Amino acid sequence: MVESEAEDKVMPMEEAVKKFVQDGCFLGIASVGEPTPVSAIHEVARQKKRNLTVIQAGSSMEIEILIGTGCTKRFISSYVYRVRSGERAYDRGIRKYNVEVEDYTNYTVAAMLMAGAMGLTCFPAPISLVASSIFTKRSFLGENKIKVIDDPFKPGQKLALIPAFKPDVSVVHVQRIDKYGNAQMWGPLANMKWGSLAAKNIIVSAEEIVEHDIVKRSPNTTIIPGFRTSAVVIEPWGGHPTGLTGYYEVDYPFGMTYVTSSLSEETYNEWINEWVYGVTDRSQYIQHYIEKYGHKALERLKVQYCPSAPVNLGATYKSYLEEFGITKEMMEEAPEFFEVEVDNE
Amino acid sequence: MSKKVGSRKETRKIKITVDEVMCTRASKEIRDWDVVFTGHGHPLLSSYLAKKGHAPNCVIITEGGIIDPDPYRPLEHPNDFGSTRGASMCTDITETFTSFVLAGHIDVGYLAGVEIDKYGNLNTSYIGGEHVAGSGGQNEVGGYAKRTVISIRHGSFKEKCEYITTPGYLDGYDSRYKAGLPPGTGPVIVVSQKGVFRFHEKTKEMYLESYHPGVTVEEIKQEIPWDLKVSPNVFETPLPSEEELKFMREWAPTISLGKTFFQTVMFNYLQTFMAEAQSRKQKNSGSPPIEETQ
Repeated sequence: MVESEAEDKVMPMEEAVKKFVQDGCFLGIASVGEPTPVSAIHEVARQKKRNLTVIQAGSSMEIEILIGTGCTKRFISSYVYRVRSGERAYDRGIRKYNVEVEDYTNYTVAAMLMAGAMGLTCFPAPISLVASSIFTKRSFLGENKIKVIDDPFKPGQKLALIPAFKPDVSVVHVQRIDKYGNAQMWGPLANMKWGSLAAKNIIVSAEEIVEHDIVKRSPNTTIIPGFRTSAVVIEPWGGHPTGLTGYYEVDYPFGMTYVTSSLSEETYNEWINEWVYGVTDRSQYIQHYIEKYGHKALERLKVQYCPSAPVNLGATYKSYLEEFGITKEMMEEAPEFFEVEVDNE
Repeated sequence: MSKKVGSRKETRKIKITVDEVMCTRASKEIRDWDVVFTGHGHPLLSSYLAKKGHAPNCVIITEGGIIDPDPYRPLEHPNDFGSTRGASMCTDITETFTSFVLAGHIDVGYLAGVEIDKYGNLNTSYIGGEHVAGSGGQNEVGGYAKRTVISIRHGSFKEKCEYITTPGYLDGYDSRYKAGLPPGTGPVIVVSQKGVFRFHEKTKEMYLESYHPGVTVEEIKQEIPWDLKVSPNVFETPLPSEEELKFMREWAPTISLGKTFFQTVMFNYLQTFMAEAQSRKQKNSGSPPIEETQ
C-alpha cells in the first residue's frame, strides 16, 4: 500500500464516489434492508454515474434510486421491496434504461459476495435453486449463472455451483471508524461484512470517527480492517431513513413520502429533485429535513441508551524480563553470543 | 557498522547472537503500510522489529485472527491475546486465511523452515520419512503472500525436498505459476544462520546475496548440496543497530538471545516453581495439609 493512500483515507462522500465509483463499474451495496449506505447511494445518483452493474442481497429504496435515476445497466438481484399496488420508479427505470436483471436469492447473493471476499472462484449453491425457475430463467450471466456438476465426494449426487463476485467498489454504512479505516459495527451484520470485503475498494461511511485506541478496546467489533478500507467518510445520519443499531430508528413516515412519490414519474422526479439533486451532501439533506419537518421529527428517531456489558480484554501485562526474572547479568552471559568488531561511534 | 579494511576509526567489540543478525535482516523486507502475516519465534520478532522501527504503520496479522495487535511480550501462539494491549480487529482462522490470505491481501508472509531446497520449496513435515511438524499455516501463506520471507534457523538445505509442505518456485522458472499459484507471489529471501539468499529472476534458483559476520562464502557453500551460485556483489550482512538490539533483548530476550539462553531461562523458571512446591511439602509434612483459603 502506498503511504499517501493510507494517510488520505478520510474524505467527503463526494470525493470518495468521484474517486472509486466509475461509469461502467461493478458496485456492491453491502446491506440487506438496513442499515443502508443511503448517503453513498444518493451521491452516486447525484454524480449521475452510468452503466453500473449493481449487486445487492435484499434491496429497497436504494436500488430503486439507482435504477430510477438511470445509473444502472445490470442488476444482480435477490429481492426488491415494493408496495403491492401500482407501478413504481423501479419498474419504469427497468423499461426506460433497459436494465438487465439476474435473479438469485438473498442467501446466494450474500454467499457469492462472501466467496469473492474469500478469494474463491465459486461457491456451492443449494439444490433448491436448481429445482426452481431461478435456474432456468437466465439474463446476462447466461450459462455462468449456476452450473451443476457431479458431486466428486457424493457419488450419484449433483453439486450446484454459483460464481464468486468481486465488485470494483462496495459501499457500506457503519457505526464508527478510525482514521486508518478500521470499521466497527454491532447489532445484526446481515451482508455488511462480506459484502464489503468482497470488493477491491471499500467506501465506508460511519456515524462517528473515533480514536484508534477506542477501536483497540473492542477488536471483536471490527468488521473491516483498515488496510481493506479505501475511503473513510464521516457521515452522521448516513443511513437515514433506514435505522442503525445504537443511533436511530427507521423513519417510517419519511420513508412513506418516498414510497408514495415513487408511484408516478412526476412525483418521483419531485422527490429526487428535492432530496437527491437538490442538496449537495448529507449535511444539507439533514438540514433540509430539519427545516421541513422540524428538529422534533429527527429527535424522535434517536434510540435509547443501552450499553453492552463490558468484557475484560486484559492480559497479564508482564514483560518477559519480569515474568522470567531475567536480569541484565544473565543477558550479558548469553551462551550463544559471539563478538564482532564495530566502529566506535 | 562493521569494520572496514584500512579504516583508521577506533573500533570496539560487541556481543550479538545469530538470531539477532537473522531477525534484523529479515525485518528489513517489511515496508511501511505493508500487511504482514507473522508466526512465532523469528517471524514474530522480525515483524515487530519493523513495526517498532522503520515500518510503524505496517499491519501485523496472526493466523488465529488477531489483526494489528500491540503486544507487551511476544505472542506464544497464533491466537495469544493474553500478550497484547489490544488489536484493531479480532476474527477467526477461516476469515484470516480466506479474506486476507487467499484473497491476496498479504504483502509479506514470514515462514520458518526445517528443510529448504534450491527453488525455495519448504519441508516442515517429513524428514527421512519421520514426521517433524506439519504445515501449520505455512502452505497458504507461502502460496498467496506477495513476498515470502523464510527463516532457516536450525534447518538444512536440500537439492530437492523429499516432501513439499509449502511451495516455493517448485521446479524453477515459471513452474510455480503454471501450477496455478497467483502471479506476483513467491519467496523473496531466505535468511539462514550463515547467510542471506535470493532467487534468480528467471531461473528462480537460490543464490547467495550476503554472508553473516564471522562466516565465509566457502563455509556456506560447503553445507549446500548443489553448486550454489554467489552474487558477484556478495557482501557481509549488516549488523543490527544498538536500538534494534535494545528492543529485541528487552521485548523478546528468549528469541533474541538464542535457544540455549531460552532453555536456561525456562529451566530456572521451572526450578523456582518446583522449589516452592518442595518447601511447602516440607512445611506441611507431619501435620495434616492445610488449605490456604482464608
